[in-house]
Amino acid sequence: MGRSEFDERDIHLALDGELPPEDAAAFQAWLEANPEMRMLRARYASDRALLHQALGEIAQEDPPARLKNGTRRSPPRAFGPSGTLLRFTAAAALLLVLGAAGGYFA
Amino acid sequence: MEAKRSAILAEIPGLRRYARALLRDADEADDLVQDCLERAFSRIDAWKTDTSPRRWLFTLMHHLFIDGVRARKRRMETPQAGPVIETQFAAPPQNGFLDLRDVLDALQEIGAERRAAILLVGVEGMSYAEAAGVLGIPTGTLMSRVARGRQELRDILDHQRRRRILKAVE
Repeated sequence: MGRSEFDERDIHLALDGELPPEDAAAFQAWLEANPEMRMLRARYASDRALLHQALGEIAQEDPPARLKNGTRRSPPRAFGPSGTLLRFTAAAALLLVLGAAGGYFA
Repeated sequence: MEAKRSAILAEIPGLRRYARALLRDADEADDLVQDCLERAFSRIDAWKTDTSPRRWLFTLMHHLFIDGVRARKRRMETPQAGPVIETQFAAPPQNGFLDLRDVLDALQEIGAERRAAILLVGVEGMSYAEAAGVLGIPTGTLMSRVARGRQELRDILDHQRRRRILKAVE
């Protein structure tokens, strides 16, 4: 036995395929009986479609080579968001200094 | 190893779309994807092939995105003059009074966490359970972020439409 009472939250569940299938018919009947909720559902569906439209092309683009290679940026950036290269360079410099000092004191 | 690598590379289009929607700027978005891929390749042994590469990669990228948001907040607390980079978009199609750039602008006005929720579910087509897993939150929290995020988007788009109509009338 499915539910008979619904609210705005169910509009999102239905839109995202999360409403249990046994509630689908009762949800439709609830929408038919509530024009305001029907309009809201149509509005969220159209905004969702708008997002798809605005973003769809990006996934069709050919990704830049630097991403397809899965390698480091070219040319390398020392101040990338993760700071990976910066840390790597600092570590390399430290090793160099330690190595030189070791050689000097040996 | 090669199969893992191919599975990761196959996720690039979706990662790019998600990153662009999160950040708006094309270069910044690809940098985020690049960081995500670098992190993925450096931890490739930690990924078990019986879990979806998608969920794993989107989780890695979400952490990087949140780190970036925090860093940006810190930078904004100590203001610096920097060049303003305009993202170039080929003439976008119109949708009523709005063009599709307005939609991407509107997304930026939504709080980062709600933005991520409506994108993972509404654009990337993840289930609530999958999206909640990526964001590291309970499903109930995800549901309310989706609902509030969409409400916010609706209000912002309405505001933009009103502005456009006023402009057109003038």
